[in-house]
Amino acid sequence: MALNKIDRRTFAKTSLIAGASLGVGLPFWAYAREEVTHLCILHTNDTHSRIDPYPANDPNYPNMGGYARRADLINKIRQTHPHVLLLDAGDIFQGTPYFNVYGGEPELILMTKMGYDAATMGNHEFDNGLDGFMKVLPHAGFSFIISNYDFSATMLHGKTMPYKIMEKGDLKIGLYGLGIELEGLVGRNLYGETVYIDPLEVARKVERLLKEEMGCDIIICLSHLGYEYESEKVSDVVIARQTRYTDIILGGHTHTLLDPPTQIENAAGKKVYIGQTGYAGVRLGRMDLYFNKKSSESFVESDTTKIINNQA
Amino acid sequence: MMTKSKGILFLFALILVIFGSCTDRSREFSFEGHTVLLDTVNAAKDPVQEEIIQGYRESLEADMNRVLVYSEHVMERGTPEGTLNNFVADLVFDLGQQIYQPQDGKPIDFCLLNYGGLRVPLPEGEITYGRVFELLPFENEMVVITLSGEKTYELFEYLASSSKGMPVSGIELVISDESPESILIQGQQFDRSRNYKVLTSDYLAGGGDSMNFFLQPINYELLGKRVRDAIILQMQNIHAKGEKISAELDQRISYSQ
Repeated sequence: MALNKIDRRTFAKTSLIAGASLGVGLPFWAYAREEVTHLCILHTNDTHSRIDPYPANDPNYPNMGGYARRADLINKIRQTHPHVLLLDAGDIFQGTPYFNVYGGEPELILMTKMGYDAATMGNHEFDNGLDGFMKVLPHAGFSFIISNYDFSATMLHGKTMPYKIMEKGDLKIGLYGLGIELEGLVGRNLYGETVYIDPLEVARKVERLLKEEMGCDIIICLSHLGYEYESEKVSDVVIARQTRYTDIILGGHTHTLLDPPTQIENAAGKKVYIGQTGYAGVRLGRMDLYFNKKSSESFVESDTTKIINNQA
Repeated sequence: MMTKSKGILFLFALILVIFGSCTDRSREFSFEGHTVLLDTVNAAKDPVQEEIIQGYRESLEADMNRVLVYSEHVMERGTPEGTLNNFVADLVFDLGQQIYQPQDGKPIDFCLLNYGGLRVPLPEGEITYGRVFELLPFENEMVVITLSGEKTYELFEYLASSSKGMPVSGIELVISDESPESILIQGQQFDRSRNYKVLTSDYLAGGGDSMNFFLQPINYELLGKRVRDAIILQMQNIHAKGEKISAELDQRISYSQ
């Protein structure tokens, strides 16, 4: 039975049981709660212009992926879930001739039709230069959120957002975006006068702003830094460990499949969930968050099979 | 004038604001996460998306069938050199020289690509956009690598012992017994005491095809152009001038007699 099909009261009970089975007690007011707010976060990364599904003779992903399938699944989820956030963690561009010929136009049009709320910028978003990105940007009916690229000396000045606040139900959601260092990865003539700022420093500033000044209930980081490196290089794991208010990191760049999402303890001893869906839009990431009407101790229900068996 | 009760309310609100902003007001939540495979079981094709895509797909197919340029003859890769090797390396080198803006004022000395990167021959006659995608399907970027004289010599040793003809431009190499017998770079004798700038792809610069001499270079400069795009641009220019493409074997890599 899919969790979304359980009525809210029943869910409250099952979650209490699950919480108890994990040995995590709930405070008294949780028992009195009437209902929960369910936020469904859907996410993609590194879709790389894979507009059509993989061909039928593909050894790994025959007939899988593609924008039309993604849209179908998203539509089905939206039919039963009022509070859906649809997000992308970058590298929408490059990978099939569609990009070489159309420069990202169909990707942005199709994502807009799917109702994407926001995306961050991957390194491949620079592949046709800042002017190439600018040229197709009007087709995006969603925001590009990037907090650590300073575009003020470029033509992209004012075209992206450093953070964004969205409301779903009674939830105030803070979004920010982190991009990877461009030097050595992208030609200088492509990124021009874009200034890269240390992601950790920026993450700490923005999450503080979103939490302490804006009063966000949940903070989501869209990251194209990559999941984890053997070197000291900044990554999603580094950001998770060294921030205090970021609840969720939706990552990309390293084409890592995190299924289920990983859990990292942050600088305040709280859990951060990191998701990444691999490569080429073959999978859609899904996170279901259930908020109590009143603040209480959190618990995690580790058994995900219910939803896995009822994927839409 | 504020009444007493309003004043108390205001004070209370102020305390709430201050208290609220100083504490972690996280809304706790329970969490479940997974990914869903977009296969034929889990998802159908959304007709709205499919209709939009169809327009692009038809136009893309037409684009891919568009003639970019005409070729005077068949070009094939070969060892130690091949018409296709020479054609691709010369065009890439030529474009690289045009777009490279050196900070030290020194131009690129030569170009090295790889045999394995040329996936199909070019036919005589019509060369379509799609054919160039088949020839160069990889998204390799052009890079300029500055190598020491020592590392440059290792590069020539690599070429001399390679069982495949690597596409090169700007050099003449005579191989004797799988070793470099003579090396000319831009018509000049190779000089082990100076640095050289080599135009290659980011794949090879990263040690692809065991080109380890490219690792830890003196300088690494991305040109911001893909190898395939360079070829397409050059073909468009040639076609615009009303010319056909061609290439010859010119003994740029040869075996000692």
